[in-house]
Amino acid sequence: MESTLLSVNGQKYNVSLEPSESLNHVIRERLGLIGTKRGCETGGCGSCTVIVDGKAIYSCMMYAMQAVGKQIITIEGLQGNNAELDVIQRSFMVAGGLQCGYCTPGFIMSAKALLDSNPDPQLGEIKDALVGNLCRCTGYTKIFDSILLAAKERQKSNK
Amino acid sequence: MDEGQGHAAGPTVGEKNIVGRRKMRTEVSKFALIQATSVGDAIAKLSSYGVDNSAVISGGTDVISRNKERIATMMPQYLIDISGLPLNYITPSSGGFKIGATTPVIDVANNTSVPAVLSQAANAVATPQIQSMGTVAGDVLQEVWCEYVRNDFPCWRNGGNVCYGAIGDNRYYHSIFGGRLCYANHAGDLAPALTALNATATIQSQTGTSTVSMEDLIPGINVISGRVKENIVAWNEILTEFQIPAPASGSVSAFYKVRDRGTWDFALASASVVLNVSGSTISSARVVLGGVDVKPHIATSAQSYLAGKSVPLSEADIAGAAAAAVDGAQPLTTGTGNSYRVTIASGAVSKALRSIYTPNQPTVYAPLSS
Repeated sequence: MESTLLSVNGQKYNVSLEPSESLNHVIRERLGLIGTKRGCETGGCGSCTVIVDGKAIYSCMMYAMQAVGKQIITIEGLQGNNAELDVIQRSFMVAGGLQCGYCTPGFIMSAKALLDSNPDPQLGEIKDALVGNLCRCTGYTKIFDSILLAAKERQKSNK
Repeated sequence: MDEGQGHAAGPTVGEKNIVGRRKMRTEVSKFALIQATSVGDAIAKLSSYGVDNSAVISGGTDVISRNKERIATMMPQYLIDISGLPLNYITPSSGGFKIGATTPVIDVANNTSVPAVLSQAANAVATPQIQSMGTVAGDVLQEVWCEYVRNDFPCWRNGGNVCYGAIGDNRYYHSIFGGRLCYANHAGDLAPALTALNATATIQSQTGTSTVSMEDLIPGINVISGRVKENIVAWNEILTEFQIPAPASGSVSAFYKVRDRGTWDFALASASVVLNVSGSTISSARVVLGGVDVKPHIATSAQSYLAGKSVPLSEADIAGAAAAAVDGAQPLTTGTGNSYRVTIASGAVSKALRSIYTPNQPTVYAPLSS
């Protein structure tokens, strides 16, 4: 087992990785960043979604060793310098885009990947971008509302 | 032993050793993950570790599933990682395109220059997350999704001598065009689109490189290096690139996929169509069905039916082509049977053909969520 550097939320972590450890396992159990959830473990539910090199991926379906040298962003990486919430997180609160909250970090990371590449998505584009995330509580409508609100808020703050 | 006492002393829910319970999926098997420094290096490493001990990994969406499902016959000791090799590109090339093997599917889905049939097919793959991880070559060469293969039944692919799909549950993952030995469908959405585009693939081996047509890349069920499989890429070879030739002028194309769920599902049937049109007449056509045969199924009758027809296609011509597309269908009648997918395959062809001349049509249909 060799020691290697993993870049998470702009910070370098010195970790020893077993080849069989998933990125999800390392983020949660080694780095203690438990905002990223563990769900189906088969790449279907989306609760483990993180952003690797700008793309939303399932962290349960990637070996941590394969993420070495890449920029990983987790839900913890969204908060600002004074621990203030990101505009997407605030929009989920304001528009009520969550109930039990277990799927929420995954939804927010998928929403961030979408809004970073498409700042003004139509409802259909939001639905397409979120098909890889499951929510068993909300019925999705308020999640879509939250992301539409986040898109508006982000555009306002960019002006 | 007293049966009652045995029961009382037995494991309770929450313990890991409950008889018959699947092992936790997080406990992936032990193996080494080795970064290849070049394609040649990957081939040398695969060759030295041997057919039963090594496998290629890049995006990992197929290999890691297999590893977590603990399919005994597919758990190699050495995974050779080619994701760091410079095989991630979509490059225009003499009117067509070259696409590197490890290009993520989502890059093809978002590419507005490649032919419509290819980007639409890429868009229909699983979910954005899977598209971001999974690669083009991985989609084309993925292991079949037959539930018997993936649950370690001793079938042809797992070292046995029976196809459980042919006699059991074959509603979703088995051929409607007959077969031999293994009847499992080829599952990916990109292979039929690439076949419709007359793409070629470059395979590097220990002795050199060869470039083959999609038909020769996935000829159907064969025994390659002692394994029952549908593609010709041997265990110690690497598929490095796909080449898409320049489309004929006046060429139009479309893809259509029918799946049970609105997302994250394999095709019950898909249709990839390319029409080469001169003036208002179709000079030649390619119609390829996905998810219904052990290989991308080239619907030759539909292709000859469409040649000479005028565009925009009439509803009668669309119906004729859709009927011709399933010529020679031999749905399974043993087990559950799968004849319902003959109708679905035919419908997918008519939807794809109609979408060419009716813009902004959806490219997937999910009966259970629409």
